[in-house]
Amino acid sequence: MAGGGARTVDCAVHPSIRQKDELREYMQEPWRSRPFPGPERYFYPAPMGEYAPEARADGGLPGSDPELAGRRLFTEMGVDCAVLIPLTRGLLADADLATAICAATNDWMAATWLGKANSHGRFYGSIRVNPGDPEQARREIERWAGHPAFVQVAVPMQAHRPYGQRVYFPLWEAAARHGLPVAVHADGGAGVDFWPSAAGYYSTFMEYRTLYPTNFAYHLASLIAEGVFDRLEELTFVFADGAHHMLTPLVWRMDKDWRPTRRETPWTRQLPSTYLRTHVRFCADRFEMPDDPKVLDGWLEITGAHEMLLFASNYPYWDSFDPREAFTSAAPGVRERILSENARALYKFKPGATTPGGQAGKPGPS
Amino acid sequence: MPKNRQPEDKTGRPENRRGDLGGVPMARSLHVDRGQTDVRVKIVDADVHPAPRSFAELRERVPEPWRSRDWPDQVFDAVETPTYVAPGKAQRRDAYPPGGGPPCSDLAFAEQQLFGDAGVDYAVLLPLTVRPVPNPEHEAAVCAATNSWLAETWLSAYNRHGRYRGALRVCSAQPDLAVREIERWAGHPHFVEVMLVPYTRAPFGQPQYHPILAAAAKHGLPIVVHVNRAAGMGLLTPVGFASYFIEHHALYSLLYATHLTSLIFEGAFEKFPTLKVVFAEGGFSWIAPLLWRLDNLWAHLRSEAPLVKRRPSEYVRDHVRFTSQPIEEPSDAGHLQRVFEWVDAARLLMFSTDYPHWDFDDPLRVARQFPDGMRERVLRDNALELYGLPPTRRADGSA
Amino acid sequence: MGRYVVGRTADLPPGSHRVVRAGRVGVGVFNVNGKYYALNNYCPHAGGPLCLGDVTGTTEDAGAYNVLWVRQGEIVSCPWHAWEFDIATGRTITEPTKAVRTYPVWVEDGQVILETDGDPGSAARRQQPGGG
Repeated sequence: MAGGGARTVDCAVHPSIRQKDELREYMQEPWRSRPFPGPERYFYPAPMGEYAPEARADGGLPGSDPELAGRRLFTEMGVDCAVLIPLTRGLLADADLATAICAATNDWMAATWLGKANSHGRFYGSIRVNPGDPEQARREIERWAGHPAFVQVAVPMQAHRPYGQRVYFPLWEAAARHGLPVAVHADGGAGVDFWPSAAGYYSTFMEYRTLYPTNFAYHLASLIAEGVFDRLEELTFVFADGAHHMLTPLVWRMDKDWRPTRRETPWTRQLPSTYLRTHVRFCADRFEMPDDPKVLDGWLEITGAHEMLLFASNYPYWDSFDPREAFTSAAPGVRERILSENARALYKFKPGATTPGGQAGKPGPS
Repeated sequence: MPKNRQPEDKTGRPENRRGDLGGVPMARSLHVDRGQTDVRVKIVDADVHPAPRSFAELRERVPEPWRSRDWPDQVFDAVETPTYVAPGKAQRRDAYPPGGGPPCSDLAFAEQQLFGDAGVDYAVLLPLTVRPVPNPEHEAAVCAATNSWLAETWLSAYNRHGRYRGALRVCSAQPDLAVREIERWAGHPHFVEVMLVPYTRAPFGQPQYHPILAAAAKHGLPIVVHVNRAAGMGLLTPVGFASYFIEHHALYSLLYATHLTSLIFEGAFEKFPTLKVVFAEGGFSWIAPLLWRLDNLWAHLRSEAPLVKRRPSEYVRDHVRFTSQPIEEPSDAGHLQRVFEWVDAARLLMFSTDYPHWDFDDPLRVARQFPDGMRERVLRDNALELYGLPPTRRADGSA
Repeated sequence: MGRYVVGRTADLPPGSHRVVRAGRVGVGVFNVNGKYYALNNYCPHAGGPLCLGDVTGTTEDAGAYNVLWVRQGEIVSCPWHAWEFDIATGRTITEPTKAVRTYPVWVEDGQVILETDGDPGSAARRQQPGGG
């Protein structure tokens, strides 16, 4: 097997609570007894099952057993460390409820996967925040920013405004100030989402799985057009649902329009495609590769993807990507970058970083 | 009832008849009047936007009760767009006719720029005179007026040389009205396709649109998907409304990708084997990565859609075409050459200028970017085949 | 050598411009705040008739969505794809810079004189249209 396996960083693993009410143990009233949707996605359930068979834990939801996950990731697949992105519950109507769920998720993570289950120090986490209340989100970032095992902020793909718009700026500013990338990932649960496409509701899971990740393009175009990257030089977005290959041609369209429309967005000081290299990373999707390895090589080269792609297993889902099979025909240097080096340049990994004290239920340092 | 205007071929030239098709439409042997000198066609322009000189010209053809009702200009202005306005209000600044009127409303001036300066032989005309509005009957009435206007002007009185073809406007929100309009014009020698505006509440593969797909396929008319911007919910993205034109314009491509994916996975190309679909002005470089996704996911998930019997990329190869404008401009032009190979541009791409719009692509400049062998396919042959156009035309004063 | 009398200075006051029939595509002569400049009428982007575009100003970012309108009369915007050029230098105001060819133009005895070396039209055809 090509080199790079021993240092593989898995940039998207999705841990779950053991059973659906476990999160309430980390909540205060009135949220503790407030009904809210379960973690499963309401829209477009996967007809053959959402999860990979080997991720099913005895007596718990799939992906809820850190030891099982550790064996699969670290022992079987040879991953060195993993960035955990727990999902929340979608775009909820009640902004305070959504914020409370995020806070509880972070407390749960700090206590379990990043705490008592992290004696090996190979799990890192994402600070979940609710962009629907940017001020509360900013405070949640400040609450966890010093915790050594949280290496990024995570927000849902779903939104009611594209992420470049001014209302979100305090949130990105806080993330950038703390050197934390912001991961965007399609969220779980049931929410007050807009249509999944610009042409309404499609019918099938196949369409959802094909198209939904490409919605990141709307956030990306907004971040570029609103000058967020010009204002926050340290900010990096990680798009954790893939779709890098589709998005590059769309940014070429923006490139063509940039000079003609500069007057309308004078704060966007550079060609849009330059921001990709400097401010955006993408988790690789195993289903976006062409069959022909020469075509893949060419595509990686012309899009500069070897600098931007991050390997992600997407454990525990049905479409998990095994690093032993990932990019095996790519040039050795390229494979190493995607499997390891790009992530290590992006994240501030502190080996052995667990929650201080490793105790359940204790909030992290503020 | 709309006025019953019979489509007539006023050119006096026998033309390809679209009629019933047993299989894939092909360029056919044709009957050309050989009494005149013939010119070999070099450039087919698959996307040109004529406008009436004034809105009154259109309005007098709108059936009642809509004709007499008051409307704000911005609803049906063929030129000005209410939202996400492109530079120069979307027009080439030098395309305004000296005698007045909007761009591409003055025949002589337009032909000087399009046929003369740009060297186009055939132009397919897509009038952007109808924006989606909430009342489908209203929209359908203006579609009917547009089709009558186009048939009487650019496709007949202006069409002695036989170089213009047209797209039928129909209202997709109420499919029976669209079918009625298609049936009304079927057999007209110069309407070569049916235009659908993609700002819809559901993508085009879904069953409610199948009567439109069926009628178009039955009459051998491709569907052309082309934006015609309105206000309101049609502009909503999955994450809200964009702020600026540059965001909105770039992401036509995702809107088109949605419709294409839906057509494929709902089995539209199995159900309507002669159906063709053109995506206009949405770019094309994204086709390659979309097809990788579609093929890979279909291989894994095909049990969800048993109607879909072939690889998605095969359906695209046989049923779908894309217009070239606005051609992408990556900073390394060599990248585009490789993309042409990967997207099979020789088969899938049809040249277009988008005259008279601001981001007009000049044929000379575009032609240089294609390698030999591919160039003629893109500039001419793919469109000749799709629309059944003669490969030669009569030389005339503007040749 | 091509030497053209563009007109009397009174015919070309500040803020005005005209296209001289020099060469195959013409040369635009502009008066910006009393000084004359001449640009080839061929946009380096895609060959559009640059000098038929509007003379205008442009916007500048003053931070946090504050926009200033600046440089009124100093910018020509190509009528095709609206690329903005600084009339005085012939360069785009965006980078990477693309430039349109400029020519010497001056005033002599109350007349505006333009000098082109050879045929600006052939110079234009030799220019490679740029992208990106």
